[in-house]
Amino acid sequence: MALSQALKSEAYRRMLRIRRFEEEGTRLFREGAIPGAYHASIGQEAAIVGACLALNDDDAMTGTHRSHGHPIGKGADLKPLMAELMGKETGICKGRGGSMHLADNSVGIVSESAIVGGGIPLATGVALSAKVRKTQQVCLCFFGDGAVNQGTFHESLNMGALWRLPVIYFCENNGYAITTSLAGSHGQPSIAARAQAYGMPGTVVDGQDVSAVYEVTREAVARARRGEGPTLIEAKTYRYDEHNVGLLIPGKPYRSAEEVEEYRTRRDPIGLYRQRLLQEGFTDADLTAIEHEVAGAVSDAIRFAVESPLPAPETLYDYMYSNPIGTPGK
Amino acid sequence: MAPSRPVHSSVSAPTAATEAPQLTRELSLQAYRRMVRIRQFEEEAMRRAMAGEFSGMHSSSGQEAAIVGACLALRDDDYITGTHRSHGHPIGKGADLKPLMAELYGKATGICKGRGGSMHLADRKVGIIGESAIVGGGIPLATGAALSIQVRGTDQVSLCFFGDGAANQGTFGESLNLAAIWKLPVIFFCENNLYAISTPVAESHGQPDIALRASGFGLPGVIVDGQDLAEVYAATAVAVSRARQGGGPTLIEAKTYRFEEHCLNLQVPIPYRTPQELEHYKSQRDPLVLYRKEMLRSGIGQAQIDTIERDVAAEVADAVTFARQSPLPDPREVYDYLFSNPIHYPPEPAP
Repeated sequence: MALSQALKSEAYRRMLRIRRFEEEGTRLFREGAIPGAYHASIGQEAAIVGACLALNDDDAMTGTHRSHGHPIGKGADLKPLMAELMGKETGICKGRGGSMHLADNSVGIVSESAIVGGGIPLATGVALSAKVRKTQQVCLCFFGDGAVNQGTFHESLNMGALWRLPVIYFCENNGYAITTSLAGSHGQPSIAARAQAYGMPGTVVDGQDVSAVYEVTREAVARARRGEGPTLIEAKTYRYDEHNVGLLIPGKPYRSAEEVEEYRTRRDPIGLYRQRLLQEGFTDADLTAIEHEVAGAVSDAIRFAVESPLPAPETLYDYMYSNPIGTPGK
Repeated sequence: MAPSRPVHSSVSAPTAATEAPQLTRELSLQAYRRMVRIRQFEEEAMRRAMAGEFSGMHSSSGQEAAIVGACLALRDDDYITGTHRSHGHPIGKGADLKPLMAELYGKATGICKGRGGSMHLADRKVGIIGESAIVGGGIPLATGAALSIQVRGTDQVSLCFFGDGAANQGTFGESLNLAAIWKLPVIFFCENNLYAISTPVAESHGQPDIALRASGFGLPGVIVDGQDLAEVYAATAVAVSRARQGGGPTLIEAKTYRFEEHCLNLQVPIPYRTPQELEHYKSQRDPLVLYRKEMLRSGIGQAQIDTIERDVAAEVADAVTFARQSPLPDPREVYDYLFSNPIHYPPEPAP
């Protein structure tokens, strides 16, 4: 099923929201306004948004260390997200999650985790919960090409298939696990081909084409809702920036400047989709309006985050246990 | 309903049947002898354990053709790793029965001086680097042994035995991928006896053929009839030759069957397999019976077969006598062999 006109502009809006949020986030990280580490999703917007648009609002998702784009793709408010990156009390996890461990429950995100492959069994468990509760919800599990080589992938996909769980295993294959290329770490290059080992369908899709990603995910979601079990989707995509902001890799580069340039100039998901929308009846003014709106939303989010307070030190032990423990000395 | 003979298919056929390695007459006799040694060792060990002479065990009865067919395709200096059900693996590789039986008895003359016992023995003399009751625990060890072979530049191979249950452990996925990418000389050999304790493959695997999992990791996968010794030998010989030549790993799935309960004295309250199914395998699919017929057809005389069976019976009886007469380890040696720098018992008093 193809995207409707309304969803087309929404797809463009959400991809741009990710791009602008990440560009500004990168700048703020470099300036010291965001602590920790910063992994930008720039270049992978079509894979994220195409998959998220195929979900209902009450469907669940899990993310990775590179997961600012996932809540935005699912429709999150940018303000608490930016505040979270800055560790502020108004953040979506009250500043306790930060960039790599945030969970925007308001858009169905169960968790994000910097543990490579850590989200795959969680998503499988969420799908089991949906099945037990008979809710018709599905769970979309984002992970990268590196995570596929974790034992959790193998164990989860087998159980997901065996129990016909409503889960979509969505691999954003950006070609590199930090610096390790797919060719240097996978026995054979097709991640989707691993699906047959477990008795589930595996599909490869161009991760730079938001419509194509939407269509294959839509099909997988429909299959999951019908009780027919999981699908493995491999979206071939690309990360424009370094693995994380400021990371210096010594020695021989693991990817060429030409390769990065090729993706940026010829395979940019937002540039490609803008051209396509102009051919499909949108005017330049329509798209410019979206671009202004997104720029405004990102500026507002930054202002909100900057102006928000840090958590009070005496709340350090809050939200750790359902039965709170007292702060020492309190 | 009794299951029919497992479907014999080659998921990514390594060889045509015509060029499959054949067992010589000498190897055929050796194969039969080793299968009989496993069967009689296990049957006698079960009797001795039930009589309370040592604690429990997991019998390999029914799985002899899978074990021996695979082991005969190896050289003496090749490595193997085993499982919780692993008395058959050293015997298949040619082990002496005396120190093996003594090990089950926990005696000082055991192959691990009585410290390993049934589930954690390692008969280094026949290339066993470890057996482990941790399901799936041997798969990365065998992969590591293969990496060591590659690094040292020898032409050994490593053969990893594991069961259908272990194929669902993460270690399986991680190990197969690494072995494929590094083209390690390892043979992943699954003895699929259809039940992980009481859980049938159909209730624990997304699809029933474990060999089908190979292609996702980029290695060949082969299904063989694990009750047919010649078929197991041929498929393993092809995989071994491929591994020695630097062609990388192979996954072999031998469809087999266990004749005894998962382990001695286990009471499973709800039956997970029918008496008819068990009876079918014992009467129609016993690897020893099938191979005996094959030998007679190929011109080996009944007398030779009888001699082997008599020899083995005497050998097993000797092993039991040896084990019974051997001393238990000295309690003062309880801390020995734990660390390469020994600690002393009793602990020396603090100064």
